Amino acid sequence: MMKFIIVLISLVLISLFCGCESEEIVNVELVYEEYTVVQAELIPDKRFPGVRFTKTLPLGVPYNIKDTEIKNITAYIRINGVQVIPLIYTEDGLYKPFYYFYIDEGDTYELFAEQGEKYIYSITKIPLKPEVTSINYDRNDYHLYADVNVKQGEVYSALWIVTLGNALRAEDFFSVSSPSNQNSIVRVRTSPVPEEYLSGIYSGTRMIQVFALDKSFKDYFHTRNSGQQLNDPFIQGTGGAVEWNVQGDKVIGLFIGVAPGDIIEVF
Amino acid sequence: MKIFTLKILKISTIVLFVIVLHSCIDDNISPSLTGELNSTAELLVYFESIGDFANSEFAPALIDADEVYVKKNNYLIIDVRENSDFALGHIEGSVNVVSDSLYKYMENLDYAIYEKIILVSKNGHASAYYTCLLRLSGFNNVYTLNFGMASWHVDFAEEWFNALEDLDDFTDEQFPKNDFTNLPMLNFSNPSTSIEEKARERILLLLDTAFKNPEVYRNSFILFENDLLVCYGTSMLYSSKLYGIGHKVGTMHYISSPLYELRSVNYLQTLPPDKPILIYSFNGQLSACITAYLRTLGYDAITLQFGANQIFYNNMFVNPELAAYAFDQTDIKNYPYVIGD
Repeated sequence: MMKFIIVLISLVLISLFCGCESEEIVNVELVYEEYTVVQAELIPDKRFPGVRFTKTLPLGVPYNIKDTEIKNITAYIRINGVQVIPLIYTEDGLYKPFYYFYIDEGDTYELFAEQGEKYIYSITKIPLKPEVTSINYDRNDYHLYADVNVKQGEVYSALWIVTLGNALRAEDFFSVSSPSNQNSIVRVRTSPVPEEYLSGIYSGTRMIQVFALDKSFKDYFHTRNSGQQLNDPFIQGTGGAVEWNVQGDKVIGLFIGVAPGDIIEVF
Repeated sequence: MKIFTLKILKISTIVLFVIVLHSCIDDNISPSLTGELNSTAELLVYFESIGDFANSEFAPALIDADEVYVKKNNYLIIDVRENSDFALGHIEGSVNVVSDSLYKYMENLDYAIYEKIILVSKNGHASAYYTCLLRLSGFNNVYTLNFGMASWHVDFAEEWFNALEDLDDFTDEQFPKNDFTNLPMLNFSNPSTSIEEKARERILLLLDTAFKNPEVYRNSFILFENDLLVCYGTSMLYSSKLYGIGHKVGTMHYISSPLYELRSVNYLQTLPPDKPILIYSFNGQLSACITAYLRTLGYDAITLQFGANQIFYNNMFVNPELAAYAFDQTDIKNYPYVIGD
């Protein structure tokens, strides 16, 4: 009996180790799966810019917007759970409202879309313009930081800007600060200001701009592909393995409300 | 001791089985997103994707009798009255197609060969209604004869003249629009069909049920307890300033040109989805068009047939802008017509 049980336990352990082993054998030929990519950045007091629907391309296929645009989507926006605004295909995968309208801070925008059998949904709340209570810089690595009054459902990031000559700004956010339950203020920082902009001639031209973002930006920021070239701190293409704040089968993207704050001189 | 050890082993075995079963369940199972778009919202998408005719400067696509008379050989004239009315007199060369056959007739027609297709009704309201429905279907060269057969010949103008009226008890008080609310709910025979098919189904249904009193229009100013009264036109139609006369108590104003307040981005969804909405315009032709649009979306919209002409007719002549929409003898051209089928 004892032997039988030992054999049985051994079998179970073998099953445990073998059965749960990942079966995913990566085969470069089979890795590619087409995803629908959704992109929209909603800024208060600006015209609604439209929503871009594109598809991913296999590795090695040269990027061309005409090859990625998706034209067969039915889509509309719903504002504050009630008002429906149709989105109409224009070009390069961009679906825009037939009539322009302005985005209001504090409003909730939902995206509903259908691509054949695929159903796509996203929701974002347009943040309020961030209220900065103090600003300063860190002497250790010369990053700039600001304290911001927090509001529910928002996270915060910041960029450094040098305004001498042609204005330059950080290519990306350094981090995303989310409020804790206890504090009404959160600290947000930039990446370090490059050494070349620390000399005296740049004095008075080093600025910080804080951005309030829908809280879903935090997941996006932490999961996107960090190896890409960055041109826009918000929309970085299709990197990352999660769906960020857009739901749907093989759908990825970001439909995000973002409120830029004032550009403030730091030192 | 041996029994105790056996018990321990048995329990361990069971625990291991449970672990095996649970640990191999894929933790990444997430329910796939399912759902359907709101059908009424889909119709809105469709109508705007083809130009949103009802909320455009082109609505209600009126065309005067003079132009029709001069170019009647280049235009296709479709008389949408009942056959008995058609037999009493119609424009020479016109064809008689009643509303429930209209869509099929248009589908089978090589309509692009005609410079314009003119719908003709008795007073201009039914044809404005059907014109809007056909435009919403993508038939973009359809127009409606201004004032209908009444403008073609005085023999057909009796209903227009009988409708002209001057009511009293007007106000200049502004009545604010309602809060935004949901679109009406529409059901389709096949909910998963394309939006083009849904639009077609809806428009066919409205053409089949025709321009009827009292479901679609009222030919006298009667307001029931549950009705929402809507003035659809410029400020001149609503306000007493600059020689207008004002409006009835409780009337809500939706500006047509240039703001087009019934567009989706404006105040469309401040209309109640579950109440009758009686709409008047200057002479009932624009309101017939917007009624067609709203009924397609599922609103219980009803047009006041002759518009301001049956509310404050004589006052319309005080102001040239209003006078342009008042029906009078100058609108009747007395062109020849033919009798029989």
